[in-house]
Amino acid sequence: MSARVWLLIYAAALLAATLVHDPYWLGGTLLVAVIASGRDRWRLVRRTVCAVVMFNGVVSLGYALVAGLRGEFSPAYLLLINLRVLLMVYLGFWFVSRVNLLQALAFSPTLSFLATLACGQGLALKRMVDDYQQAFRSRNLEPPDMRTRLRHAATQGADLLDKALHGATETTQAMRSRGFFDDPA
Amino acid sequence: MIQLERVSHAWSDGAPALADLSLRISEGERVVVLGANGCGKSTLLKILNGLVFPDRGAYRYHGEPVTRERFRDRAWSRDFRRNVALLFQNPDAMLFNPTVRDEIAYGPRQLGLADAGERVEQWARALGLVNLLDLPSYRLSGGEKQKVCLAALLALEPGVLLLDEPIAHLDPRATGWLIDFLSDLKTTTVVTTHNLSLAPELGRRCLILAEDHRLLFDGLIDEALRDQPLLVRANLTHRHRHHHGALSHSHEHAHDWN
Amino acid sequence: MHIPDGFISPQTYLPAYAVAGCAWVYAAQRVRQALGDETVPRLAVLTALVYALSLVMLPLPGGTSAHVLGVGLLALLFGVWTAFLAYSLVLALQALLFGAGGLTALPINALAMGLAGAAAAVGVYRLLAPRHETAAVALAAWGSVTVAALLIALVLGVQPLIASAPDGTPRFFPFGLAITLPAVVLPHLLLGVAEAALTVLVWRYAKTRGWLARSGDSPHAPHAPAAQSVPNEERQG
Repeated sequence: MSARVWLLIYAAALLAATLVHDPYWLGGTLLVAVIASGRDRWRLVRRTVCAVVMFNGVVSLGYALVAGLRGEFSPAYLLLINLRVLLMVYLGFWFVSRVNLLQALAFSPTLSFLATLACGQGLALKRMVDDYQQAFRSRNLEPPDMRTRLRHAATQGADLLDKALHGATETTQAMRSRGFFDDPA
Repeated sequence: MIQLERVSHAWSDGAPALADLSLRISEGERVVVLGANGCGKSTLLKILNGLVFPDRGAYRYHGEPVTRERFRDRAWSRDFRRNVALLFQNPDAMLFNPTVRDEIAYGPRQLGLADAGERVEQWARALGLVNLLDLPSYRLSGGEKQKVCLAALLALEPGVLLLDEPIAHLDPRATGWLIDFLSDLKTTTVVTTHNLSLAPELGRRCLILAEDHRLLFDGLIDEALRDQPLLVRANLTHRHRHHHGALSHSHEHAHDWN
Repeated sequence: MHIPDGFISPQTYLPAYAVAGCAWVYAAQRVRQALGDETVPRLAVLTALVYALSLVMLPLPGGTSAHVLGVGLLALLFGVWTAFLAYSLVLALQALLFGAGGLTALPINALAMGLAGAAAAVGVYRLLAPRHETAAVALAAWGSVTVAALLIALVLGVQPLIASAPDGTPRFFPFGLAITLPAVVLPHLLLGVAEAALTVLVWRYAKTRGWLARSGDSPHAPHAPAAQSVPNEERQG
């Protein structure tokens, strides 16, 4: 099946997961998804649990506390919301591990250009931020004070802007040079 | 002084950066690290600088293991950061102070050294930055920025200076200056480069990293440079056609590209 | 402050998709008019910029930190619609490439942070800039964070009202407005201060480096045609 069909199936599955309010259905679907995802499943399960544990933990504990005080506590709700979130996040990680989004966008040259360029530039800028943060760690003998940290954050912001604007000019020129604008997509 | 034992490191996506690397560096040594792009030279320096930690194996500095946990010890961390300095490949990554003067004074001021001002003057003179002291660093050229970074590191008089591709973006005059400057320094240096013809100027001992991220060679640089098959394996030389009038032939050789 | 998938009811995210969809179409037209040929490369790079800015850490008291939002800065420099599109693209790419964030929460996050946050920043800036520019930039950035947090708190807080089971137990986010408003908005009042300080500093850099006049539909040059930005950019390279 094509990447685009998978994208539609994924979107439909997400919609369904918010229309069904029966924990057995949600849990059953999650189980089927975990089994169907093959050898990758434990890596995906681990990623899913790591991704949701903070937010869900806080919400679940908060709910138990607040609803408990009001005498409205419902364990079925806790099961429902946690299974729903786990299912949706698991489907997300499964989708991205199997489907190349850039292929799913192939129907629109403009969109796939946009996504490809944005990813490439995003990685380059991320590497830059990593380097800045490591250099900052390397140069600090003592934990830096607030002002220094703020100045460092601002330097990163300014240099990112600089690099991004420079990148935009270069990319436009390269695209013009390759005739991208002569042949409106 | 520096000791790596079977160190491996992989990126978060599982791609290897360094594999099974062991080496020792003694005080005062000048080491050149050669390798093609992406073979782990920068990662090696970042491990030596305590920014990246080995997934497997151990890094010892003066016999002490360098680990994430070790850096929680404030006094130890300050000592290590003061003694082991890394010049990043991109000098912009290191500069965040309003003026060149503040940049050089940053480390000494953090230590509360009384002679911070004198150190700034001393290193600004040594690196020819006196006229730039009150400028913001973004107004400087790439070569000048690199000198500011060097001055900022040297103002703390580190025992180990790690330099990541310091000559990659310099013009010939600045390259000549840097080579002379480094050879007059008494500190232990570890310098990465992929410039074969300048490598012998940067140290006598040479490490060659292979494209599979393993240590391919550790020895005298003159020997390494005479070993054509070794250089081919490390992807440090290449083959292409030459034209001499009507004749054309091809052979392995190194071009030093910057 | 992102809302993850699973806590928002279809009664909320389906209409939000409809609203965001219209806003995306309109924004794309506006940006295309302002930038012409440059639309795709510019938008791509600004999307990358939004992503990278979110990796920068804002300093908070006690050695803690939080991620930069950056929408105020982006809106002031490049205009509301460009900022909105770049934010939406980051959310979409993060959801579809890394599985982070989520598709159902996407339109709400995009509208709250990318559109309302950006509009608040530009609105506050236009109102106050004639009197005091630095204060205008600071309040614009603070306002963008606060407005986005307020909207997200509202959307989360109405979930029990509009999507509970007949017996009153919640099916999505469980807390009402009495909890979400203080829990989400109060910390962001503080975060907004750090974001404002950062935005002012970057704004000053941007000014000294001469970037402010170059952006097509920015609040500084509302009528400047895109072509005017070209010489500036070439000088910059």
